[in-house]
Amino acid sequence: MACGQAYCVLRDPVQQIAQLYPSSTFKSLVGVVNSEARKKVGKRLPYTLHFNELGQHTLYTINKNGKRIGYVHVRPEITKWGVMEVTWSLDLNLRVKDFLFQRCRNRRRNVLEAEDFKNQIVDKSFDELLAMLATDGHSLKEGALKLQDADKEFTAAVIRCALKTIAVSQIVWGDEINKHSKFPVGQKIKRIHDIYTSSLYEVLKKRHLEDNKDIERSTVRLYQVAEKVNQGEFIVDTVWRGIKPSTDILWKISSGRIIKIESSIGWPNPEVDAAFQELLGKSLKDLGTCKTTVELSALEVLLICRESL
Amino acid sequence: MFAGPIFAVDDLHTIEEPISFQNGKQGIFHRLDDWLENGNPARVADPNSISSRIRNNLRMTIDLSGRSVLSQRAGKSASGSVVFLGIDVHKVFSDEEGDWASLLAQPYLTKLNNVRGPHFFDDDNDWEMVYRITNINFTRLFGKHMNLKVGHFEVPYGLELPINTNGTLRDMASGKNLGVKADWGVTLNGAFTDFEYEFSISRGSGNEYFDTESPYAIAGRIGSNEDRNVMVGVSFFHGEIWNPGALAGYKAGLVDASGVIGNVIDRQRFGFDLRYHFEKPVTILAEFNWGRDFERKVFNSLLEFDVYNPSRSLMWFSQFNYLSEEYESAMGGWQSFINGSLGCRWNPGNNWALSTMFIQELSTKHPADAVKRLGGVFFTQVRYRF
Repeated sequence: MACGQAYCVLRDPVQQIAQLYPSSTFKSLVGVVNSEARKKVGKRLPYTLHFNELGQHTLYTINKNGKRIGYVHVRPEITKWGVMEVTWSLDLNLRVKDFLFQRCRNRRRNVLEAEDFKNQIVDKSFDELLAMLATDGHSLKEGALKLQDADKEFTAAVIRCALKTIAVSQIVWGDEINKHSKFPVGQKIKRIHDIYTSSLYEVLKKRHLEDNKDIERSTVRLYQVAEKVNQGEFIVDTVWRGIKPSTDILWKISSGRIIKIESSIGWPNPEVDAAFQELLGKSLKDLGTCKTTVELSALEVLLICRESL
Repeated sequence: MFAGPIFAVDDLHTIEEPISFQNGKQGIFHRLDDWLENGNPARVADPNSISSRIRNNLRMTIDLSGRSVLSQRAGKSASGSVVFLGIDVHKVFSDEEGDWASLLAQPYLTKLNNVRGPHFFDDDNDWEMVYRITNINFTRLFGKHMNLKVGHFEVPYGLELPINTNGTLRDMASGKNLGVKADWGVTLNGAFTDFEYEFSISRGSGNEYFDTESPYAIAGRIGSNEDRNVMVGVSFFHGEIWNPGALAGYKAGLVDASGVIGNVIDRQRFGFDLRYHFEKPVTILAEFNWGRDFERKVFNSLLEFDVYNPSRSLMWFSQFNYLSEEYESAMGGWQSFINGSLGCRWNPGNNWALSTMFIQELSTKHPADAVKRLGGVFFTQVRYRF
């Protein structure tokens, strides 16, 4: 909030956080968005913060079972419909997870709140969102998003707001965010879409994995470490349903071997944790005769990476 | 990739840093850090040090404002002023599991100069410490949907709760309708996806906590989610309010006021409020209140139109208040009163808020058609926060 307002008007976005992250807790981190931060935003974006956006602001860290799972930050954007405030949900690497309008007069807000639109920006990084804007930084690039013409101006404002949110979060709370980043800090990560291609399904079928339900395939995210393409370094984000409660697992694969496995929201029990840690260093060859659900999941992840090379 | 930034980076210095007494090497926090940690930079940087625990998630601002008042009635005019000097503090308390409480403290030294203030001022030139909103809200005692607030808070009734007009010229109906805008006590409050609520039990004495004549107030509001363009709420209020000024007005409507003793007024209200954001930056607000003072019926209402510029740094508002109270039939039925106001608030920068407002009495109807001359008041306010 701007300095001009008394603190009694401050409201935590409690309802929005509850909607975005049911059954989780949040912790406030108050930071100062100053003119230095504004300059840095101006260097990363073809526009920058309005002076009303300077002041002390809150980044909400979201925790589940004692582990950090994401962030929430509210940021305004000036539009012809007045000031719009958007509650952004970001993952640990500041990719868009979801958003809700906290203040929005535009009557077509429902269009942007619908899945059709949200699916087009969910999981997008700063660079991917920036690529949606035209060179003026104000309007959308032609064909960047599937939208009706009537929604383009409004959508461009939402994308601008998302970019500012990510930039400000990184600039003001960068140290804190980097400590909990899923991905290596400072490395460029490229997301690979269309993971489950027909050729991958063929390979999975040969290994009798076509009906593997332990990995929730609709949630699998595959990222390639851009500077380590030669080493075949991948990060695979999966929801694992082998045992209840399901857990979010991050796999790091390099040169065809599993080099790191982490659960971002905590393991269901120590036995599961131990079973996954047993997989470290293993390759497709090592898993040729796998039997357990944990090994079958690892096999699927390694096959995903191999087919993406 | 880009032809060039909309704001050239070289031009960015034209936007000045908000002035803050807490930032910079000479700021109060740095002095406090040095004093608490004996100037040891390692201790200052330690997140578990005393200075870090105080400073983390703390907002603190000095608030200085002056208000001039020019009034005229029946050809006579008067002038006065009010000066406010306060500190505005907001602190969130957290542990490893998350936030567990938030503290808000707004003590303001308030000096009247030839202005009639609320009843807790002794005279038109008195000064008082006004606590505005000073409370702690415990957010983890009863789960996600119920918090416990203790201290001096806005009485949860009507539009004042979501709008909050403390320290501004613009006012909602609570002061006129309830006779108490903020009070000492406890509330249970919380929010669900589609609605939010707050219920309170409080002292009924307003700014000052005292124990004479046992005033009290019970109030509550349930309202729809504030982030939608249509917001509605229903409220109730019941209590005995310490308000000598209102009591004097009440007595004026009695043929025989000898039975009314003390300084508290028995008051009950039920309210309905509405806020509607148009697609353009225009908002309409309305509040309707029914109830009684002792046994006499009351109907009060408020209607407001707001117009903003797109950045909300400029706001125009126009408000109409209709206040009415049933008198004893022997005195001529209902008394009613209508006023209208036009005001403007401008934030030329992050530190400043400039406001002006003109209130004109439009109509009065008194028992037995007693004649009352209509008057007007012109306010200006300069507010500086740093």
